[in-house]
Amino acid sequence: MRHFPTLLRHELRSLFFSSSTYVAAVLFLLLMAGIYYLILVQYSADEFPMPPSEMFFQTFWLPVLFMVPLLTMRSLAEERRMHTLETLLSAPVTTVEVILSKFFAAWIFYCLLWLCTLSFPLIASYGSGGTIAKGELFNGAVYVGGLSYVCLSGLLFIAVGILSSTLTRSQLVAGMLSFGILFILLLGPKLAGAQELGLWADWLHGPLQYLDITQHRDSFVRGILDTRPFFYYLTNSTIVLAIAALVVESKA
Amino acid sequence: MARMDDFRYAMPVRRLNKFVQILLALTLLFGLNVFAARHYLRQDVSRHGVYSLSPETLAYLHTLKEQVNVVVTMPDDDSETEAGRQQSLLRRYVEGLLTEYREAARQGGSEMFSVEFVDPYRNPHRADEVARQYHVDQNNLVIFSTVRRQRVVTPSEILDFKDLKPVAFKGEQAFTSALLETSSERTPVLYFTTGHAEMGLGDVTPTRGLSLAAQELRARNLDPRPLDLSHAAVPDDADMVIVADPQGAFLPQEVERLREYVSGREGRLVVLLGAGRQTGLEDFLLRWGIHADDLVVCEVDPNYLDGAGGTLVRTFAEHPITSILRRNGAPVVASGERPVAPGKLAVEPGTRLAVLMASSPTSWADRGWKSENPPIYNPDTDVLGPIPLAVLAQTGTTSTSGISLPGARLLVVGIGDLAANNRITAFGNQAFFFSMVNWMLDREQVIAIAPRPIERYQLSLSRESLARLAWMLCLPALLAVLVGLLAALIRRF
Repeated sequence: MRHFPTLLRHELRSLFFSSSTYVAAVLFLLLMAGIYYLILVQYSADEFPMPPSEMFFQTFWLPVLFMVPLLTMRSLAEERRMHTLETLLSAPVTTVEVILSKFFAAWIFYCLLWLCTLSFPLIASYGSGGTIAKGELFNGAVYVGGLSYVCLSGLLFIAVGILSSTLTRSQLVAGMLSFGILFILLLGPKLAGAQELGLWADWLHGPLQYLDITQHRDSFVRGILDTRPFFYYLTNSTIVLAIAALVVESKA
Repeated sequence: MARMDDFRYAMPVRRLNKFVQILLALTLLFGLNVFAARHYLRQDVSRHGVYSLSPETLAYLHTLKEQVNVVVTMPDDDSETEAGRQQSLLRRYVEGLLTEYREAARQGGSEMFSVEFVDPYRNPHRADEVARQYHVDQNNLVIFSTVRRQRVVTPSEILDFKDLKPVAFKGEQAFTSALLETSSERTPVLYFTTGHAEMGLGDVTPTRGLSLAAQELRARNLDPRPLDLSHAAVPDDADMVIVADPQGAFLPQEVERLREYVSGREGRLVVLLGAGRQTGLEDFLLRWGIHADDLVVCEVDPNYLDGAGGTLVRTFAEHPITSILRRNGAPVVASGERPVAPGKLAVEPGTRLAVLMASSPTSWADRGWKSENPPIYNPDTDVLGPIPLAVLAQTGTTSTSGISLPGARLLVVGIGDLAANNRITAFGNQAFFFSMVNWMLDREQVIAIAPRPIERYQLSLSRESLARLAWMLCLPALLAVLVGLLAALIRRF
């Protein structure tokens, strides 16, 4: 892993100088600003049993579905299309180092974007003309829990994006593949759990609960520490990245 | 040349090798996750420990001996109405709490607690199955069941309201009580006396039947049985005896058997008395300092009349039995009430008396009710309200260290039709009757679990502020555009 820091720096630099990165960032921030604004409108009209920040994190899956494919679809598919992957791998670096550098660069950018959403409650508090105290909008515990969850779950989502990018030379196909897998990961267990499974599939309730990402998010946001989501995201992202490395090696 | 050096063989083998590696990685992933799902730690680190269960609840969950299934039939209502919001709030709290129950049971090494959420609108078939299986005909229930019994918890037991808005969540108290009731080894037995034209357990008539009350008692894991005192004493397995509005008089030996049960065995007796009957129990009650004179309570204030010939009792003293009525401002519907008043002297030693409810200040206890139609207030003979309608007499003490020594309990209610089929459906009557039964049986033992306050959030933002914020919230995106332009410039030059 000697070359990992160099590769990571290179990936971050290319990410920060890429125009598509900023397109994704602007789209993300506009979408989240829109969601936050709608939440403010709802809370000014009525009472709700949860703080606005908690409702904000309930919508986290929406930007994930388009942000992650946008951030990761280029990473390896583009290298393969331009035939630069072979050149890169002929240098004294390992496949794992290449995969990890691309993965962590995308993940750091993803987390940075989410950190930018911290500005929304501060802006709203300032823009309300003093009618709302900062504490009403900026619920520290919820933000710490919510952002921790976003960063943790981001490991798996970005890993899925990287894996999708290793499977094809086309950015578009990689993006669509990533979107499809993420859709199943994010909403599949919840939707399946809401169906009438019948007696024969009663045993599925437990696994579906374990995989249900909304339950993981709720636990974090409510301040409940559970080892299962940690294990789920860390092990799954590791294995997904390992598979991505195997795929790259087999295709190189 | 070795065979593996041959390109035609080496490539497929290499691919197979990668495929097997991926397969092994997926198997490892599956195995690790199965392990993690079964062995985990869970800790509530929220500021107020909102989702932490009390030590009592944890103790019960860790020592479950039989499977307890919980079915929640609450729709996920996301409508904009107040009812929809309350529905959503109720489900959110119930879901969060029951998840903690399930996790706590698992962490205690017990897989004997399962929770199923059934949305009656999304899963109508499963909802029908649940309705048939548990004999319930409404939604918004939390049903605890074991092989032998079941207990249905209703929303009124879970939420406390103030000004029609939920202010406290009592889910843990209600759920732990239900857990105890369904998993306890013995079903408490309630004997209803017969032979004096009392209201009957199997009687389905509206005014003289107790069939609905009996059904509700069974649903709460209580065993109501008839009791003929003319042949035998109160059985040893009796947890409580109820005399439900007798029309005829008790024989002296029957009264003696009741006295022996209450005084000799520190029993629990409830007497529901309507007006205008000599029950033969008057002297027995007097020994306990309770006067149940042959008068009728008359109400004239329209605020205390229900418009269907019944009167509304709205005055309740502070007591665990009446607390639910006080909190919810719910009245007890009655007709033909009889004054039940505490006297100054009780023969039974150590007796403490408490009035639980009374009629309105404008009512009166009419002595000449047999001859007056309509009844008229006579200041010389009648008693002006408020008239006491329920008196509790009990022995037993509570030490300074808080240890309660149980004694006899006798509750006399001057409302004969309190639990009749046409009355028990009223919220107030039902709440009073079942709170009374629970308290008399000491079934409110987990009442010490404090309710959790319900927080509601609202922001005071004017239309102008919102319009201004719509633009201001775009600032981070605008900043990203500027940084992107800067990056493009740096790259170019």
